[in-house]
Amino acid sequence: MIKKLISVFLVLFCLSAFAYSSGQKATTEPKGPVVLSLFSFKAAPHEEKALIGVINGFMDEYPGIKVEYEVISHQSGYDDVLRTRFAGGTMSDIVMSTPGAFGDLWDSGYLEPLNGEDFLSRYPSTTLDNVTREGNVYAIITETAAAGMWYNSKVLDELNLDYPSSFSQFLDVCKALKNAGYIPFFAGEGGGGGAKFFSVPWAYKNIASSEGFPEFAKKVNSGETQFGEVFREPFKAYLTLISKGYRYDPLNTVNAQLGGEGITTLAGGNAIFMPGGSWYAGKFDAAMGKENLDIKLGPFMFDDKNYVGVVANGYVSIYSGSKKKEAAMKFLEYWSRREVMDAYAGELSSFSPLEGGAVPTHPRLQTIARTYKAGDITVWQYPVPLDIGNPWSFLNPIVQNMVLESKDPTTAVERAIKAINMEAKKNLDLK
Amino acid sequence: MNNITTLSKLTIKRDFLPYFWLIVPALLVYLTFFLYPVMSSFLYSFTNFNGFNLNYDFRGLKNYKVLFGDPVFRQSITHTFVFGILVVVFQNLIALFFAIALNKNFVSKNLLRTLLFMPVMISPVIVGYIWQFIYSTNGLLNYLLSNMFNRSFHVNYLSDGRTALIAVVITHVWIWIGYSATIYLANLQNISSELIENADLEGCSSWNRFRYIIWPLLAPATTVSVSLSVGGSLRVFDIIYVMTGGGPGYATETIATFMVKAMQKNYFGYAASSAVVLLILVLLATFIINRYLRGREIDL
Repeated sequence: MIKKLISVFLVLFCLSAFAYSSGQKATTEPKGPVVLSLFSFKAAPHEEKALIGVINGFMDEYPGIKVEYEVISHQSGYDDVLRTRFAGGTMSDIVMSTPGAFGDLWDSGYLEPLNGEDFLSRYPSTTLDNVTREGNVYAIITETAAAGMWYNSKVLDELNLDYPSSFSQFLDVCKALKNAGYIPFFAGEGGGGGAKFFSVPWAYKNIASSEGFPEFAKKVNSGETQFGEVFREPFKAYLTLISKGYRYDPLNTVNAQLGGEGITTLAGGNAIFMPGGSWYAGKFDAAMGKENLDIKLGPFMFDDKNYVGVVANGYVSIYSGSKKKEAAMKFLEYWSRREVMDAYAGELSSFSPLEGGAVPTHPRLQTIARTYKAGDITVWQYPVPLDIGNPWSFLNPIVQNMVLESKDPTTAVERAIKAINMEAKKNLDLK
Repeated sequence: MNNITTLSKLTIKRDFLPYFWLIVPALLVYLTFFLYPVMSSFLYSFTNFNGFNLNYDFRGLKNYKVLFGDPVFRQSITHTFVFGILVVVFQNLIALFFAIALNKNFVSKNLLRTLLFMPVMISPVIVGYIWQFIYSTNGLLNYLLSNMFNRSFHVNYLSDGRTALIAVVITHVWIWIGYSATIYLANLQNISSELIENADLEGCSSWNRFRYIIWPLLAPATTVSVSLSVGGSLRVFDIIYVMTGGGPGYATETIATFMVKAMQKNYFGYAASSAVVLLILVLLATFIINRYLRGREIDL
């Protein structure tokens, strides 16, 4: 009996202590600054440094608001944590997303519309199209990454070859390089591989110059137009490079990564051209050895002229469940200021997404910056909603298969187009 | 009659309840971490759940309809079974060979047993990376082949659609041989030495001794090892994901890698339907094989 009484007493004691502590927490909420939380996937050291720069600048200007940030890389499962926190209602006030996840976040009602905010006028409307749904803007864009052709300018200079300004000229340059004993072109299809980098901006350029993205999207979403058809021209061009023997492939590595083996190959002087993005600039800096090479990023050479492939990335939104939306909006306004955005994007070797924003100062990116400034730009993420899913994410195995079957280029291209159409139909069925 | 019922209830309460409370913790873990996820996956497979939004819609059998109309999924079923059959056959044959060899008395047998079992203890991710180097163009395999045949080999076995699946099978078998060999070895050590000696005295050849005495007596180990390898190989994910990611193209796509890729595209409901198909296939395959092997044990 005594034991039972002691047990009951102990249980009551624990419960009362718990209730007291909970009550204490509710009544003694610290009356300090507003604390904003920010969740980002920008986890590489230089990215985190750039993010801290924005946060510190903001806190200097708004001493009453404290920003606490958390970064998890995509490789460490950023999207999984994002899903769990949104579903559990524990998301940070400010959240960063990629083009791949943005649509689902919006569709689930997790993002606060930013309409009516003056700072949105600092962005080109074409950039804001990426984050506009049903007439409302749901994020700011914090960087514009560029893609084109990395090339060894020293070899071109030595052979008196100009940077090609169309695909036919590119073939001529490749021929001249091959005749001079060089391997013109590196191609690896691992991850975001060469065929994808090369073909997607070309296909999207064709859409932009014909009926435009919204109209084409309508037709694709309704099943009236087959999405794969736009890839016929760039796929054929890409396989021409392979069939003419211009591809560096002693390793026979269809799984090779541009950002891995590709950089090593170019930095080692073993190939002259390679498709890739502006974010490889730092990797090339690190990879350059004793070889006296000059690796730069130039624009893509498509059928008619040169284009820079761009992607609006690093979408920053306010969580619709946040209790600190006013402070969060101030943070987005601050980040959208020219000097802040230019500094942030520059740190990432990206272009500022603002109207007339700065181009990166990195010496390897100056060739592409000239084309960018001239306005010869094409996108490589479809800029308006597509119900067929994100082509950038489902193209990998399809283009890998195409390159594997490249001994018969015509069949390989047709099979790839058919596979894209089937994937698009499947995704429409699942929508 | 009433008294008997009361008595039996009391007996149940007295005899059963203490044991029941003992299994409650394990039961709770099982219900929470196995049964609940399986049942919820089954329910999600009928929805358009995207991993973000809990307000999903039920869409009947549409996910399954799309799934079986998807050529990549059909391909992944074929790859899963090809992978499973090759792994089960080679893993068990080679393990049996090693188990018999290591059942002899010689000086370094304990060291060799440890070495054989070692791959099981290494993370499949690490093993995958090691074998990527072995299979690479300038890797160990090409080096050995070049020296053996006196001509240069420059094949990247994981980048070639014709060799990638076989290459991953070899790695998977390499990992799990030690595990199966241990099971066979344990069974071999329980076979009476008198039986073997008698067979030797009767002039039984080595092959006949294996065929008519050892192999039938290894039935229990065969059941366990084959069942485990069937389940393990059909569910394979980690080693394939690390080594090829399901590629090149779809050359090594299995149901498990297909499922994870669907999740990465935020098609959680669709991924759940492929998980249900995988579960059913694994259960069916294990059931059929177990039934056959158990029958063999009873015949014994």
